[in-house]
Amino acid sequence: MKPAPFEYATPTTLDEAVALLGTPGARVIAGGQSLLQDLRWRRTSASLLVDIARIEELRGVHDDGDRVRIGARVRHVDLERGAVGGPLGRLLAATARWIAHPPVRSRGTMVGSLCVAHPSSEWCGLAAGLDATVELVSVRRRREVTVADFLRDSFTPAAGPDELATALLVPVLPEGTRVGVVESRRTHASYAHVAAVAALLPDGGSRLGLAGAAPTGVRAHAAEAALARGDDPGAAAAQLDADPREHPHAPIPYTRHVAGVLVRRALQEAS
Amino acid sequence: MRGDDRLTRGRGRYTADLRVDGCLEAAFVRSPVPHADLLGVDTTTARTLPGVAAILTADDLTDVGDVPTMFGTDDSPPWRPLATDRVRHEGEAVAVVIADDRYRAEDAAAAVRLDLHRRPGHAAPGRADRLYPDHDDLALEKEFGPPVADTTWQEAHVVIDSRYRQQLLAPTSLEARAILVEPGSPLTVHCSHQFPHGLRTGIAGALGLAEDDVRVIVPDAGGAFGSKSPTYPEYLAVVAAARDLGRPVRWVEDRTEALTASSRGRGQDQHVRIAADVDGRILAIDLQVDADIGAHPLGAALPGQTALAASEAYAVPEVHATVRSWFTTTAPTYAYRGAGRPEAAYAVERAVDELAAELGLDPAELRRRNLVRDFPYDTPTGRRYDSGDYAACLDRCLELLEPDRWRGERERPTGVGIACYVERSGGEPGILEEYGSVTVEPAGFTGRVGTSSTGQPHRTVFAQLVADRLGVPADVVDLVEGDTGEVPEGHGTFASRSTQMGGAALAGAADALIDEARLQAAARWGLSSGDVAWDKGVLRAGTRELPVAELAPLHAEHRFTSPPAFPYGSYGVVVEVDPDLGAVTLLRLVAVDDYGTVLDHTATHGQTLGSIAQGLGQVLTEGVVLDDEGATVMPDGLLDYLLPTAAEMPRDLRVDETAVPAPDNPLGVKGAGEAGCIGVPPAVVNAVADAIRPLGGDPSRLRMPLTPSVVWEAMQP
Ligand SMILES: Cc1cc2nc3c(=O)[nH]c(=O)nc-3n(C[C@H](O)[C@H](O)[C@H](O)COP(=O)(O)OP(=O)(O)OC[C@H]3O[C@@H](n4cnc5c(N)ncnc54)[C@H](O)[C@@H]3O)c2cc1C
Repeated sequence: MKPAPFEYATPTTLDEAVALLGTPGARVIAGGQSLLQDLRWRRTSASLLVDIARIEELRGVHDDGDRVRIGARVRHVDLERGAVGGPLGRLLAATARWIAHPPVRSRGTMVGSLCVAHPSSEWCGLAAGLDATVELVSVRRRREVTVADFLRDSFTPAAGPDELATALLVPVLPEGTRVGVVESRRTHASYAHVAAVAALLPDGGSRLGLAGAAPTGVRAHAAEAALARGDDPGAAAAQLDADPREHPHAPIPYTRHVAGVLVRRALQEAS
Repeated sequence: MRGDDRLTRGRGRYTADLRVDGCLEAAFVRSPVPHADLLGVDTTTARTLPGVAAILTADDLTDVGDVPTMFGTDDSPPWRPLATDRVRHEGEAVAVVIADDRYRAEDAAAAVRLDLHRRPGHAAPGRADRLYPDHDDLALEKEFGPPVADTTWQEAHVVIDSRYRQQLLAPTSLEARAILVEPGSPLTVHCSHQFPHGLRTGIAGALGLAEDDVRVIVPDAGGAFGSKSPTYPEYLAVVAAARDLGRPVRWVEDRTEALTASSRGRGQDQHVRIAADVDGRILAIDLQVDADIGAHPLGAALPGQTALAASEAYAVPEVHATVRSWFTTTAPTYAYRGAGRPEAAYAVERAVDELAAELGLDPAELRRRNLVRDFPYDTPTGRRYDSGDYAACLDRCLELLEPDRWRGERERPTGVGIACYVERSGGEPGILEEYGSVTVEPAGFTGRVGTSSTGQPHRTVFAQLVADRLGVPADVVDLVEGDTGEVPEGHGTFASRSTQMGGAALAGAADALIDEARLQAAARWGLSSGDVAWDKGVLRAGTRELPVAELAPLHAEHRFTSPPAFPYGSYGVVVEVDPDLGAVTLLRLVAVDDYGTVLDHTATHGQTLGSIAQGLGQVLTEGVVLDDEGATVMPDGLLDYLLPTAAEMPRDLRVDETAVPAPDNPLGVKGAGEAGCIGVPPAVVNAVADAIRPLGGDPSRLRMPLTPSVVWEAMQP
């Protein structure tokens, strides 16, 4: 199918972009790897597409020691190729490799993935697990929203229509953190059924994120606590952290089970 | 360089690539629900939108005839090109918008309002509430072979009783359907099609035209897999629009339409019973098929192919099959690569494996004891197998598979599975004939043939075949097909028939050309044709010689007819199952096929690989997901309907051929197009069954596609 008509703008500054987003029906387009499908299938529409590809402020990653700021123009492939250093960078690179296939990774952006809030998005699982924060800018204000608050429900991020997500802010993982990510999926190019992201911190703590196990990416708090207690984190993840929806190829009990298995495997990969 | 390389290099020219001045584009308004009364179609707003040239509904097509069914019933309910008072499947075409470009056509299509009153839908085969007022929901019922005697069941040492489901598949060719119609005399139809002469007949019949008033040209076609041989309702609507507007009109189907509105393959509930004696000799097979044929009887009779194949590779004294084809509120079920034979092979080869397990016999040994060995062999359901050495094929498969290598302690549950199959190629009575001609041109030769490539290397294979026959280099032979203006008759490309039927027709035409040239040269020289020899395009008698070009124009035709041929094969698979997730990994896949005499191994190898990929699709990932009423549940298209890609192909893939010539074919050729999608599914499921049985798993819970959750559930106690 073909999309309904829309206007198209390519602002070069953040101010300009944010001003354009005041237009009723305006939408941001980043990599277009989700938006173009939705437009083509006419399940969404836009009066104006505001392309952020030329905005200098949204480029690149910046590490301030506490948090790594990943700009809205950073693509999956940039992270796959090691745009971020340290344990966090290794986790990001390993996670990126599970997303779609190379042509999609060379266009799609990490911030765009958060803004889609697909239940199986690897980035949403990772960002939730690591307690990351989304930075949102509009003509009205600049604000930060935790990923847990941002990912309200499948496909419903907590961003206003006039807000531009400028960056994802991810807490740095200390040196010595060991990381792992595993996924179950049906073909090499398909979305994840479930993905699990694990970071074992040098202080003995852990960070666990799940994608595909609930309506949105979630932090597996119960599994982290079980691990700290010496209990089976897999069982905790399956019973408490997972909250799956029925899927034609994955009944709820199976998805719960898979979440548990993958949490164990991600931890194993990290250890 | 092979003559078809341009297709793999992206230099093909498809229907969407044609540039025709003033061409309009079509978009269809389709039913969003599986079943409803159609109370009204409101086009008022849509007609006012920019670029709209016309909007046609059923009322505008009253002078257009019904959509012809291909394998219908004797008493098929009428099928209109655009729905009149009822819609019977999701995606059924209700109106067509013609506009100056496709975007605007879709804008207007979205503005057309349908007044629908929903009725209950039913996706599963079985009686419902009469989809057609004057027709039973049972569209067709047919019996093949004499019923198995009660005493056979009673006295058998063991009876296997199993039920399987053949899920609906979407025949996802790279290029979906596409047609461009230029009005005029003749009406010129460019269409991505497998059967141009059939389309000509279909269009001429529906439009009340003489066949000569319609010319069908097939440009490059990006795949078909059986689904592109009908005269689809959309085609008639586009033809009518071009005729009414007096302007060229094109429709290029997109993937969303292809997945919801186009024909689908498979779709059978199967009940198999097998009786055997204590030594594993199979005494009887009974196969009962309940097929969901969709809302229109396009392929109602196709499940008969499954019944006819019910003996598979085995000499079984009693074989009986019944087919019941049920109307369902889904898109029509029609031919898809294998068309009835993969279904039969699955049912029989799964049940034979269950029999081996029940008897504690090696599955290969059990099969060996039952294979057909003497040819021709008449099966109880009505096939005459022509030739073969089924046992040699199975042995070669086992040699490559090395079943014993995978036994013993392994890290993960591992299983080995095999499957044998017998295929039918060439077609059925009515299409078991083909036209070929060879013409001498000043600069070489032109072959014409009634087949129609949808991506197969006909240009390479057929040019070489004619060249070899004539003793001339292949580059002086040109091939023309897929154009009813150039080729007077033809039956197209499906049923693995092109080289078997078309190749034989071309070979016959080349031979006839040589005879004719010798006759004419003899007449020139005052000799008898016996004195004139054909020598690589030159006629010779004693010291006299005459290049055949000097006899131009010279033309010879041949109409080849023969019974069908029966290719066969043995497939072997080794799988590893993730014990926690149920995911299946292929450690090895072996395909040994017998296509009779092979003219071009690159071509058959490509066919084998492609059909293996499609077999893997059916068994592991593909399946049209419908709700109970027949609405598709695949909101993200090919992200939901998962096709195998190169990455899904097993790394350890061993492909070989045996070659027992076809006795009824002058080239010894049998068809090669469908093998892998017949052999792969049962072999893979048998391997998974083998892997989970020792763990206490229940193979009867395995169903296609073998998603991880299906396998995991089958492993649970
Ligand atoms: C074949 C295929 C397979 C895929 N497989 C996977 C997979 O396995 N895992 C996975 O996670 N994803 C997958 N994707 C989706 C892909 O990762 C997308 O790129 C991603 O989800 C969206 O990023 P984008 O930059 O393309 O966003 P776009 O498509 O441009 O935008 C998506 C949405 O987010 C909004 N948006 C984007 N950026 C911003 C911003 N900065 N501020 C405010 N709003 C914004 C847009 O307005 C739009 O609503 C797949 C896509 C395809 C086509």
